Amino acid sequence: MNLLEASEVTKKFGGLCAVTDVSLEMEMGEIVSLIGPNGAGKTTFFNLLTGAIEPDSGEIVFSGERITGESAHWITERGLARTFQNIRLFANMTVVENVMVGRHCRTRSEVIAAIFRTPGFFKEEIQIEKSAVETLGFVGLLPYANELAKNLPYGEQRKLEIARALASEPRLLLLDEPTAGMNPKESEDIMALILKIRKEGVSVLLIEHQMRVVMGISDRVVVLDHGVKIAQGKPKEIQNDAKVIEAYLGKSHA
Amino acid sequence: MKSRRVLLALLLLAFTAFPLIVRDGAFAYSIRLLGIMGLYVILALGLNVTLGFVGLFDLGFMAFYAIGAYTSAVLSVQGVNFWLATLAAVAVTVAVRLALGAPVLRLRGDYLAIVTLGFGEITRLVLNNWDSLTNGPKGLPRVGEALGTVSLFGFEFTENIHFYYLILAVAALTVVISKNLEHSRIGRAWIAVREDEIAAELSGIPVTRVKMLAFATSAFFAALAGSIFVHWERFVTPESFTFWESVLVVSMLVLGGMGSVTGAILGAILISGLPLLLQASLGGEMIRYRYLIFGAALVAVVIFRPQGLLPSKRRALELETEQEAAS
Ligand SMILES: Nc1ncnc2c1ncn2[C@@H]1O[C@H](COP(=O)(O)OP(=O)(O)O)[C@@H](O)[C@H]1O
Ligand SMILES: [Mg+2]
Repeated sequence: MNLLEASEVTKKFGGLCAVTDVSLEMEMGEIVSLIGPNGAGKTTFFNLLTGAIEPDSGEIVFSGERITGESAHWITERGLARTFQNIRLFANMTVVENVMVGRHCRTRSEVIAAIFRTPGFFKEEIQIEKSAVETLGFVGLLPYANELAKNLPYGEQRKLEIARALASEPRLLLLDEPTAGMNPKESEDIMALILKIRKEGVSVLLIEHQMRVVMGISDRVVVLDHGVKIAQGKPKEIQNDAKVIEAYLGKSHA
Repeated sequence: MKSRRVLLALLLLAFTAFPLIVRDGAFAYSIRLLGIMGLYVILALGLNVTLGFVGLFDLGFMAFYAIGAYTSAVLSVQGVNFWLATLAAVAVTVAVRLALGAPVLRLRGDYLAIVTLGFGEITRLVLNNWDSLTNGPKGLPRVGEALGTVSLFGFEFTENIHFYYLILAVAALTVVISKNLEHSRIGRAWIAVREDEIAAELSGIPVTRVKMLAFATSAFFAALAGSIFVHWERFVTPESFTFWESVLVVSMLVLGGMGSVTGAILGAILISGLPLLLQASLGGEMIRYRYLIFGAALVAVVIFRPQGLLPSKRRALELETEQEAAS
């Protein structure tokens, strides 16, 4: 059984076809890159997969369960987590709290338990904190644990988004341009982090512009252009695909 | 965090001791004023849950205070005892809050403010016109009726100081509840929703559900205050629940610091107490300017300390040792 099966997913915004009949399968443990020019519909496709918006048609099945049209928090709980192209952290919460929020769907304490500070509540709080600290250690943000998220340097903010997503114990992690605006050294770090995440058994679907990153870590590459999937294959194949070169460089170069 | 705990403990001590010291002196009247401040503390903490923690702009909060007060009053004149009437007031207020909350959940910011403002006014109009239940502008109880008294284990609450201690106890309770919730799984979810609703939902938080929990908690606080208020005052009219009262509670949070429990308490004490204090201290002509001074003080805070006097502090982990080990 595939981890993810998106079949002929379509989304229109008014007259604009942002995503047209895009299908995508992912296996367990795969790293797949989703590439394409700006406005190709990559982020929209992420929004469709994560339930941020509903597709007009098509179906999305995640580890055997139909998730099309379900609420976003429910989909996250099923094991599909993401980061955002424009960083969306809880700015006025501390770094560790951002990650603790990511534990929400894996924990149970309710209002009453919190008010009465029951033993169960304490036990779970300690467990949430411990696991958040572990996750911060995993991405290398532990030294910043008590900073407000908004005070982190840009590159670390991207890592914090990844940590928050990891805290929900995803089986598939969607990363929307995790190296955007980063220098080569920082991109290098993110590549290493993605490989480390995969080692933990998490599959990764990655929107990425830096070809060095795409070619370096992807098992497969999928190319979108004007909302349509125009190619998919091994990184090497994609590099030489005439349609892809055309989409990126324009007709004259093809 | 430590220093705020100490501040809260000192406040509690001062507020416990003060009435005992002044009760037989010339300042005995101040016990009543302190009781009113205490009610505002409860209300400010109630609004702090929705507006402060979750960031839901509510300009009609006094409506829930009113619904709590009226439910309690209606039952009390029928002979229902205070504690049961309070329980019923909480149930009705929470139910109304949830019923009204559901349809406006998707609204944000100024839209929500307008809707809640409208609701606050509608509530007051209903109370003013539903004669058979509320006796309209003349208020409850009707001539010939009386509210039940408050008693606990045979002890009758008759004097201001009795109600003062009841209010102090409930205020302390709401402080503890607020604090405990703030640093809990649900509290973090609330604040996450305030910071970025979409990111919160996509991080696995059922936003609708946690908003409803916030509505229920804040209505609970308002209903408690409302029920105590009518039993103390022994009289209630719709005029106690105007738009300006709602605005006053919002300004308490602005002054103290949105989302800050200690800030809400300070804001409530200052804003409900300051006009009284100015009234007492400004002699003669100056008294006419007390609201001007008060307003100027608020504007100054917003300009020079937009985060409020005691902005909320997020919890820091006791990570120091681990941090050093890691770096
Ligand atoms: N919520 C929206 N409403 C209207 N148009 C949108 C919306 N989101 C994206 N679009 C449009 O859909 C197209 C694809 O956008 P996007 O998915 O962000 O592309 P990419 O991430 O590949 O750069 C763009 O033309 C964009 O303007
Ligand atoms: Mg994009």
